[in-house]
This record gives sequence, C-alpha cells and structure tokens, in this order.
Amino acid sequence: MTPDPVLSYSLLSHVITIRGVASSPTLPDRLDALLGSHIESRRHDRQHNGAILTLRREGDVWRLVDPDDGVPDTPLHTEEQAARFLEWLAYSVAVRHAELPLTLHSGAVVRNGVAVLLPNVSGAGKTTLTLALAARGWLPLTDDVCPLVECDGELVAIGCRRCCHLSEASLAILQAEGIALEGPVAGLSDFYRPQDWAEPAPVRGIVIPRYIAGSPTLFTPITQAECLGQLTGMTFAQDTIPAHERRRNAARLAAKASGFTLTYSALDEALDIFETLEARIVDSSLTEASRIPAIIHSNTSA
Amino acid sequence: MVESVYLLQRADIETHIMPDGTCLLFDVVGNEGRALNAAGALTWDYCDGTLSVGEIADELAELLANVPQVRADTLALLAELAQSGYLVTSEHALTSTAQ
Repeated sequence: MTPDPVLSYSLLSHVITIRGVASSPTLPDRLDALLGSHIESRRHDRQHNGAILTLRREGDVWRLVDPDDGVPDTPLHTEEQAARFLEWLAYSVAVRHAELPLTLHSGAVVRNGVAVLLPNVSGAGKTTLTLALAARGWLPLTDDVCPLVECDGELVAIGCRRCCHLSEASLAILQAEGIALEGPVAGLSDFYRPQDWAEPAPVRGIVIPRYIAGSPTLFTPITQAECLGQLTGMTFAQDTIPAHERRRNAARLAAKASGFTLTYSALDEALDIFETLEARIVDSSLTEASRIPAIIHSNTSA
Repeated sequence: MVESVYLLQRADIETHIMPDGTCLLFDVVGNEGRALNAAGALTWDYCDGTLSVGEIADELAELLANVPQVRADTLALLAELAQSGYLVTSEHALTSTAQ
C-alpha cells in the first residue's frame, strides 16, 4: 500500500504535518505559498514536537479528521476554503504548542534596531497601521502573531511572516501610501505579505492602536500597569507555558517599554506620531530607579 | 464603607508591581486585571489586615499630603476593590483559610 503523502511545515519552531491533501490539484501549492516551502517529509507526531492535521474527502467536501476540542468541524467545499482553514488551523496549533516564553496578539514594527508592539484585538486597525508604517521606515515583523524569545536576559520580538488579511479598503489605503506588497498569496484575494520584513529586535515601545472613524488623533502615555493589563489580554494560550508564567513574562516586557494608546482615524496623523516615537521612548533600564517614587522605597524598606 | 473594617488581599490575586510604581492585580478566577496607579499600589500593599480601612486612608493622606482628595480616593478605591472581590474582610479571610 502506498503511504499517504504528507506535507510538513515548520511554524514557530513547531512542525505541522498535513495529510490527505497531496492528491488535490492546488492545495499543496497553496499551502506552500501560505506556510512556507514544506520541509523534508518525515514522520512527525506529538511526541516529536509536531502535530498532524488530516483532511478526508467525503463526497464533494473535505473534513478534518479527529478535530481537537474547539476546532470547528466545518465542511470545506472548495480548495480555497480548505486552504484558508488549514492556514488558520496550522498557525493556531503552532502557537498553542510553541515553546516560547510569550506569544502576543500584536503587530510589531522595527526601526533602528528598536521594536514597537501594536497589541489589540482583531478589527482595531493593527494590520493597516503596521504595514503603512513602512512608509516612515518602520518595517513590519508581524501584523498579528508576535512571538518573543529570550535573548541576553530580555524578551526580543522575532515576528512571524504569516500572511496579512487585508480588506479592499485597507489595500487601497496601503497602495496610496506606496507600500509594496506581495500577493494575493495562494490565489486568496485578501492574503498579502509585505515585501520587506524587519529583523528581530528588543521591545522598547508598546502602542495600543484603536481606529475609530471620525476620531481625532489621540496619543496618550499609559502606566506600565495599564500596559501590562492590555498585554495580559493579548497573550495567546500556549500549552507549554503556564498562564501565570506568560503573565510574568508580559510584566517583564511592560517594565522595559514605554506604553501609549493611539486612537485615530486619519492614518497620516497616526504615522506622524511614529516619526517622533523613538525620542519619546524612555529606556526604562536606564531610568528605572529614578522613576520609582520615593514613597515606594520607604514603604518597601519599612 | 465602614472605616473600622480590616481588609486583606485575596490570597489568589496575582500582584505585578512595576518599576514605575504602578501595579496590576490579576484575578485568576475572573481572568481579568485591574491596573492601579502608584498611590493605589501603595494602598493595596497596606491591605494585610494590620490596619483598618480608616487607618490606611489616614496613612495615605499623611504620606501623600500634596495630593488633593487622597483620603477620599483611598476610601473609594478600597470600597471598589472590596466590592469587586480583590479584597476580603479579615474575618472572611480567616474563615476561608480555615476551610
């Protein structure tokens, strides 16, 4: 019996193996475009730092075999639907199993070796702002899934080159800003990637973006506790890292960065804020002691 | 809130004290956080059952004499934290510990 061909991808240092799609006309190429060229096909399972996703053809539709809890048992009618679903599921599984200290639901951009995170829920305008910032020299690390790793005793944003999902309106805005994008990827009309990506960098700023139609541009400093409060709501669940440890890592991140909220409707005004952001980012590691109120010292020593 | 009441931090609340003096309280049961400014963080730190609500407010008023309304703000914060379950009365805390 011929073994079922498999496609394996390395996402966030986690191997995702997809079975049951090799015989379809377009899915292997679409998945390669979405998830990166598949790596050497070999046996991976949960005991070998990997996960297996298997699709089965049932008449005119595909279905996922043995979906985990929380994964919708959606019938997939077209190869396009299957590609979208598998892309989402592969990243979801990779994030859940990632052996990283922290993974945030956040955009991230880098300029001059400094990373700024843009954490918020879907629909807050992260993607458009993250990609548009390239017009001001801030290259994207990610627009949605931001993994962080330990490096020299601090957390460094390494980014994730997952495709961005862009509406027609966002696409038009980015084109008007002259942002070069690759896509549509895998024949999916709303899947794009930036042409230029940033290199990993330590996080020194956290800007919580919120697009509100008609709103004036408001850029407001927030306390580290407020920043941490936002980050705790934006941490992805990871099986390998307990929740309290993720919150502790988020606290380390918030302690090193200057935090702000940015409410805007005019994109150019929001971009202007980032022109001067580096000057407003305080290097917490240098000024930490002077920022602790004396009253806290006296209380601690009492 | 009665000022003679003694309040204690609920044992399972995570306290993240930040370098700028603020702190985040995280309720692992409700899965939600509550950010406190520096004065709030100090108020929270006093809630170990040693001082009554009124005595904590007096302490804050003395320590932060240049901050207007600090006594009233402290009382309001303590009432809010008690109402939302971050703080419990010391009798209640002792009962919970005994169980």
